[in-house]
Amino acid sequence: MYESNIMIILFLLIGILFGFMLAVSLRQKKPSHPQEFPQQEPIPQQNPSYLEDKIWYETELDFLFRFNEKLISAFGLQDAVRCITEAAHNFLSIERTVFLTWDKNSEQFTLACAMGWGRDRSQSPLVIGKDSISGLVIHNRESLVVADLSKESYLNKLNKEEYLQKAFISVPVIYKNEVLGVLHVCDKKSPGPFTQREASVVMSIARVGAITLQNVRLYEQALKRAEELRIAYDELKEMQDKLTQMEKLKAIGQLASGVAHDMRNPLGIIIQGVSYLEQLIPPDEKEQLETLTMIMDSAQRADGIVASLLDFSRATKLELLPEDINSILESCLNLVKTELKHVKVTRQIQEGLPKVPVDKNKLMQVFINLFVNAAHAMPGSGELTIRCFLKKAEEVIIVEIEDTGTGISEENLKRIFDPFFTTKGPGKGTGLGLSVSQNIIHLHKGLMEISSQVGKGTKVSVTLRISK
Amino acid sequence: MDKKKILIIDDEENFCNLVKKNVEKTNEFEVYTATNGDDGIKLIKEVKPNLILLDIIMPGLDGGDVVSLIRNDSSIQDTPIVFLTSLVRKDEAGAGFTKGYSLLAKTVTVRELIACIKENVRG
Repeated sequence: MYESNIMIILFLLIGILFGFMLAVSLRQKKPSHPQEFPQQEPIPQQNPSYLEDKIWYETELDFLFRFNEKLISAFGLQDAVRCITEAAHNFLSIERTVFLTWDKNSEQFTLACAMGWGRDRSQSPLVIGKDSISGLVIHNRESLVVADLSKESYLNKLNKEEYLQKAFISVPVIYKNEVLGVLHVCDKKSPGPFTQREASVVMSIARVGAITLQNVRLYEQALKRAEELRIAYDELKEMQDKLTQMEKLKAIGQLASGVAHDMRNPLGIIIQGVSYLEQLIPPDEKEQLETLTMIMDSAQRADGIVASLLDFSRATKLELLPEDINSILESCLNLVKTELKHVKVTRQIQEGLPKVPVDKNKLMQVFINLFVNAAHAMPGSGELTIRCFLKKAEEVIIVEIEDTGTGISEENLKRIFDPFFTTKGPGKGTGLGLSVSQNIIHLHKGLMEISSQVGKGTKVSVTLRISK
Repeated sequence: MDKKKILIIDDEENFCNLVKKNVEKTNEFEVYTATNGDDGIKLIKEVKPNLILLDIIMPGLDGGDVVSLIRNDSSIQDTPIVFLTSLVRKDEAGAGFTKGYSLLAKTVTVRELIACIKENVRG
């Protein structure tokens, strides 16, 4: 029993001895891990007099007060970063000051501001990875004060940062737990290494700067979010307007076939009746014949309105066939050449366009309508420009029809696709042309857009998809 | 020369009467009228027209029903038919409708109507 106790004590003593030796060897090996600081050379401590001390603290206090004032008025992230860099640079009278911002997603630093050190503007933006002195500083979340970089072999193993040459202070800029960047203050203009006091000023600048930077970041994020919300709201509103418009067109379409039937029957009777009377009246009864012609013209015009209404009710089915849009445009121009005789027609047509699946007759109706509208907008003279080109990336063909006519006011432009809305005089337009045209283009899964300036002209843009 | 017989079946009596007056003015055709599908079928069997002008939308037997009855009756099945409808544009009339039939808009002019009759009448 006594012997076994002695053995246990002996084992314990041997264990303690090994543990001590291991601890000593590990201490000697430090800093073999690149992510840890070695024991740094002690920063030389001066022995200032009471007066020097007082002057220093007053100067430091005054400087930090002014820095704070300036920082508060910084506008935007870039301005705040410049303010911080400038403060460190000017207070210590040094060769170079560099501020790097840290992006935790890409785990990279980007040069945000530099003083006393420049880069050629043609160079790509400076990006530094985490295997660098900057990376080490943010990893350890501690400031690093180096008197002579050439003597710090463990730092030289890391990726080179060319502004860090001899003596420098590198301070992580951290707000709460979030790393925002690193501030490097490099090489004093006066001889000698950085002092503890100087290092503490740089750290103060970084601490105060971090709060402002975080605030600015949050403010900018809030602004960005507000902008995103505004865009989302606008898109939603536009979508809602389109849906309302589509619902309106659908309701009119349903109404149209009923109205067409009920209107066409009496119109047919009027037309047949007038024709019958025309045969009965002798040719010399001009006044009576003119009256009948007026009735016939009105009946035909009413029939035209009914025909437009019918386009709503029946424009639900397309007969799609691959067609050459340029030839369709040419055919339409040919059909309306009388209306366009006072107008200069300019074609900017891209040749060799792919064929597009369209309902030729319905598309012709759209283009003819647009050409006639353009002609009416240029009563004296003017220029009609027709463009047709391919947007390969989006797989669409764009047709633009632009006139130099009277233009449409902003107020009227908002209602331009509304059924029965017309800017032409009474009896000159049904107000269905553009809404029918837009309906036809929507059925082709295309887009019809219109822009106009009063006194300058109007441009209608039709986008058609190449594939079905 | 015997006049060709034209039968118009349309629920609008005034329309039927005016078409009759206008077509008969040519002195080439004799026009019969019916204002519903049942009367129309009876008249077809009785008169054996050379052409039928047929409204599509009618109460009772509509245009489609009348066509089925005609095509299923061997004594009258070859009678040519021109549809009269309010549901087409004038510029679409006569083109692209069901094979074997012609189509006329209700608002057709007398000149166009007579041209269409002359083109389609048989016998």
